[in-house]
Amino acid sequence: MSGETSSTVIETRGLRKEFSGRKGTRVAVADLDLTVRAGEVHGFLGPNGSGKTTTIRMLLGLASATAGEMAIFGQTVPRALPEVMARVGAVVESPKFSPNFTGRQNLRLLARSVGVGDARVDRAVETVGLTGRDRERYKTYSLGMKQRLAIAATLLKDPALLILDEPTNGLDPSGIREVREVIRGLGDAGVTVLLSSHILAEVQQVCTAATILGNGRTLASGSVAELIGTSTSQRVVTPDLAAARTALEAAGLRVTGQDGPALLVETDRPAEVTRALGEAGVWLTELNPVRADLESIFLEVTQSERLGGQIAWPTPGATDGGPA
Amino acid sequence: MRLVKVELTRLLWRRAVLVLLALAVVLPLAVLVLRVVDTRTQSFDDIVAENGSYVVDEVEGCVRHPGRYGVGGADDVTAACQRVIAGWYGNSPLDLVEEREAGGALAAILLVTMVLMLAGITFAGHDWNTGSMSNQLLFEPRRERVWLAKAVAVGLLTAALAMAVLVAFWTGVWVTASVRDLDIPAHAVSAGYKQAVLGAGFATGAAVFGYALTMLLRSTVGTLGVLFAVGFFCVVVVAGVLGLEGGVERVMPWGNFVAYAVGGYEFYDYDACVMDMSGGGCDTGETIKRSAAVLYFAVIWVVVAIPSLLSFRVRDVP
Ligand SMILES: Nc1ncnc2c1ncn2[C@@H]1O[C@H](COP(=O)(O)OP(=O)(O)OP(=O)(O)O)[C@@H](O)[C@H]1O
Ligand SMILES: [Mg+2]
Repeated sequence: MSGETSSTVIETRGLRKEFSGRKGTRVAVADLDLTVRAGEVHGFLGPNGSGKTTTIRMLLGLASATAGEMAIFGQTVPRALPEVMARVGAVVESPKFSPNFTGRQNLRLLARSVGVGDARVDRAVETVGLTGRDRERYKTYSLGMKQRLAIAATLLKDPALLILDEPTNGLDPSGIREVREVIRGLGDAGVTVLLSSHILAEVQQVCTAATILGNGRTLASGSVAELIGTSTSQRVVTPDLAAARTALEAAGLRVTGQDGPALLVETDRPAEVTRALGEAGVWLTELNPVRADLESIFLEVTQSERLGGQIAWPTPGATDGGPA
Repeated sequence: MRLVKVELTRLLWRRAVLVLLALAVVLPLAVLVLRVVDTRTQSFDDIVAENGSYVVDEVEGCVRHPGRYGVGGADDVTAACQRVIAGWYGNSPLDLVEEREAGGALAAILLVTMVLMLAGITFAGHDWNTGSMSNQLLFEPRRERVWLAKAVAVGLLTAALAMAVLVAFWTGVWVTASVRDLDIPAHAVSAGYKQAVLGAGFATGAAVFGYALTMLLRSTVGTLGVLFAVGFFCVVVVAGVLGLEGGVERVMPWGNFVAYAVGGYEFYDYDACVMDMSGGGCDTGETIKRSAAVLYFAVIWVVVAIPSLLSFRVRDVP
């Protein structure tokens, strides 16, 4: 599988998708830069309609790009898809199979189309915990079983890259945990994963890196530690909030909001806060660091995008050397 | 080749397709049975039983005035009268030429064609209606291969079935005629088999056509709607309201189908006479030749199949 851990598995540059309908043109993906490195479990985050599914469909050749370049395993797609797809497993949006075939029949048809035998089907069915139910018709499956079947389908190919679009959608807590374990296991085995999800806690637990999307653009991207680290802020409680705000801003610190009796100040050095306030004669009653989680990052980033605000986030592309 | 096998499996696992394939066997068989029954040899008593006592009255009238019935000089007037009257009221015997040119064989080909076209439509429609096409493309991204593999699977299966059914139909007609000791015109039997092969080709073309149209429109209902609308337009608007005037029949499906299956189709172009001021013997007969019919259907087929394949290559798949 992926020997060289620094190599890029997915790369898009200036990727753009426009849908033209009766009401004019809608830009679903706007000049998106996405980089997924080998061995990463890469979270792909964004509010509803931000273009995650559209990006994934373009990568997989289901939709054509209006502009931009894409590469998988360093090969330009969609041109190289026939060679590349043998090592890519994917679930796009909701699982789609023939309702009157059994889960097993559905898998067998897909397996045979890539020359894979039935033993492989057995193994995939077992991995996702569908053994015993695989000979029932797909239409009788619950949503969770359908999701499991879709994941089983991706395992038929022995993939080096998995692209999963909300794979835990509709699963119960234990199902979510099982899928998470499967993804973790694959990640540990060296499989690169691109995981789109709304469940940020899950992404934070499973992913090593993430890209946050808004309106078809990359808003933030980097390792999960980097993303969270950059956003550490301080929670400052004083009797006179107005004076404190003036003092902090005069010292060049950014006050990002107010939380009850506290101000939120964006800095990872508490000393700056105490000094600024001390010099202005405002005394602290409470100071504690707020370690952001992915969820607050997500909300903050997507919120500022919606408000048209500017936040200095680490931008992708600054550190890498262009398309492969 | 592997893909074709997979698509054949997918076809044969589909229940709707199996039901249609069964219909493609049963319906022509039913036509054959009807034809065999309708042309059975009847005794005079059978005819009386079927038509009522006025047949007997008719015979009595004939016996009284044999001259009027053209059996004046017969030895056994009653028997001769019965033969004439039976010819009027009884079945016409099985006629291989008639059967091939205007009878059951044409009906059998049409039925097989329609049912197999439906099979092609439902096969392709299912992939779109369920959204499973996108899943298939994740395993084989070369779209033209996917399109062709499915087309070949539909073609192979329908060709085999249509051939078997239509050859069986004609064999049934031939065996019936032989058993009944009817005289069989020279070449009538081989002409029938030739038509069966041509008919199987037609049904196969129609099945792949239905498949291609559905791949283009991406919906079973949409495809049926378009076919229905075109049929409605041809039958009601063109034939019914505007009338089959001028050379319109030349571009109607029916005449071309008969021309293809039988070898030629004659129709009358009355406009030609209106234009002809010379008066008197105006020959209005026109013929569609088989070659013209082949061209007609080939053009329709290509006009749908090529855009279907090309659009499948480039359009987004939901
Ligand atoms: N086939 C289409 N035709 C027109 N517009 C489309 C089409 N598919 C997606 N869009 C639009 O593109 C935008 C991005 O949609 P997309 O499905 O990629 O979002 P998403 O990030 O996957 O959202 P979600 O989290 O809800 O799954 C949306 O505004 C959507 O309405
Ligand atoms: Mg989506």
